[in-house]
Amino acid sequence: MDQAGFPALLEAARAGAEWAWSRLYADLAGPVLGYLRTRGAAEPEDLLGEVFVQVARNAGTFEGDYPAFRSWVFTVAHHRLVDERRYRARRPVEPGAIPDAALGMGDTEVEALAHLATGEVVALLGTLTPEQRDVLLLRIVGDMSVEDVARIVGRRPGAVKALQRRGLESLRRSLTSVTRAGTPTVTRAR
Amino acid sequence: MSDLNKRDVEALLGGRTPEGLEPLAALVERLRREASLSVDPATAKQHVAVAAAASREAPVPATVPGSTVRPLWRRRTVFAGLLSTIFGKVFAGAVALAAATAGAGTAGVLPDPVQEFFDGSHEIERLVEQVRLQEQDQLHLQDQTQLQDQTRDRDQLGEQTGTTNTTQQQQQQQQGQDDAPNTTQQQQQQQQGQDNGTANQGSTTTAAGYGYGYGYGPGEPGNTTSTTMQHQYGPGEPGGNTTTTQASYGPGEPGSGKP
Repeated sequence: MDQAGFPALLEAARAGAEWAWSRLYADLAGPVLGYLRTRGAAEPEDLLGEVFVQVARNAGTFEGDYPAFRSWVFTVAHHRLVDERRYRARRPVEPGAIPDAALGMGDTEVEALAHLATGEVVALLGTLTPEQRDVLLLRIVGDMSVEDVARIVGRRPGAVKALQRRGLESLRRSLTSVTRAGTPTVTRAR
Repeated sequence: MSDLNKRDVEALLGGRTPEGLEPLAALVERLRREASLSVDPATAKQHVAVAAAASREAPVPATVPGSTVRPLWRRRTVFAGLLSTIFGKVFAGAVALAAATAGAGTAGVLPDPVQEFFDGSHEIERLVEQVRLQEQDQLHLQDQTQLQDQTRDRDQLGEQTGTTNTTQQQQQQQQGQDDAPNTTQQQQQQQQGQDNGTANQGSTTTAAGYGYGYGYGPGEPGNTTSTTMQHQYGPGEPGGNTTTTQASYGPGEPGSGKP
């Protein structure tokens, strides 16, 4: 993304120019979709569309450069993901439906990670706690700062730093066990 | 295996490879690359169209550089946010009720009890003035009664001492009226008592005769009532008594207490 041309691009997007939204979508849709999917969104592509609609509606209130815009889009995506989780938690289970846990697919996020190209990465991310996964994905995939991540997840920057350090240590231990045994360890980190 | 230090963590998340952590750095890079999924072209086209339409429908904020005034839609949003709280609703209701009551009270269309309460200050002033006037009337009646009693006493005294010649009485009365310095002095004394205005209610000033001065207040227009009564007992001839009575009830001049 051309930093110098971002203000004009944002202005055109605010005016409703489709070419401007195509540029923004091309830059941001992939990482946002990957974040939504790895975080276990039920319908990640639908959620991605909702994220961009909300971004388009509120683009008039945004002020900042492209990194700030990218951080803001991930913030919207995270909030939409939390809303979807709450909605799914309130929705009653239909009678007769067999829970996923009973079929051996209890962790929706692990199942979502199976859509990734590499099974090894899926298995390794499955070893992290949800908080560690949130922080590491926002830091790595979203390319966000510690302060931005802290604001999104509602924690202090110090807590975010601790979570990312423990998450990386867990991945490191898992990699070591994979190297030794040849298969990834799926025990969840604590 | 030693724990990761702060520098290693920042290097890994920043895309660099710390020494001895090559496998972990490769994993982070794979995660960064593979987590960025490609979107189906048809879905992407639909998302872009919807986003562009949403941005066109969204209200456009003020774009004037340096403008400190919030756009109308933003002000509406802030006001709606304020109204969404219970305190905001109560405050807005109280303001609206006060404004409506004040307007209706000014127009005089409130129900009688409420209107009387609204006009309470004026009503109190009117009642105080009414009580004051009643007291004045009572004092006048008392004065008149005393004058009548005194006149009757003098007449009775005159009848007992002798016969009064009408002509002499008239002459004596004329002399008493012509006795200007005496009358002027009495009026001045009464005037002083009235102008004093402090403890002159019901005060009596007597020089050559009787003077009753009643002064009320510092003298608002029409609010001053003065009473001047003169009883002169002229030199006359023995057995002749002259009584002159002047009583005036006037509004007086504003602020001076002059009758």
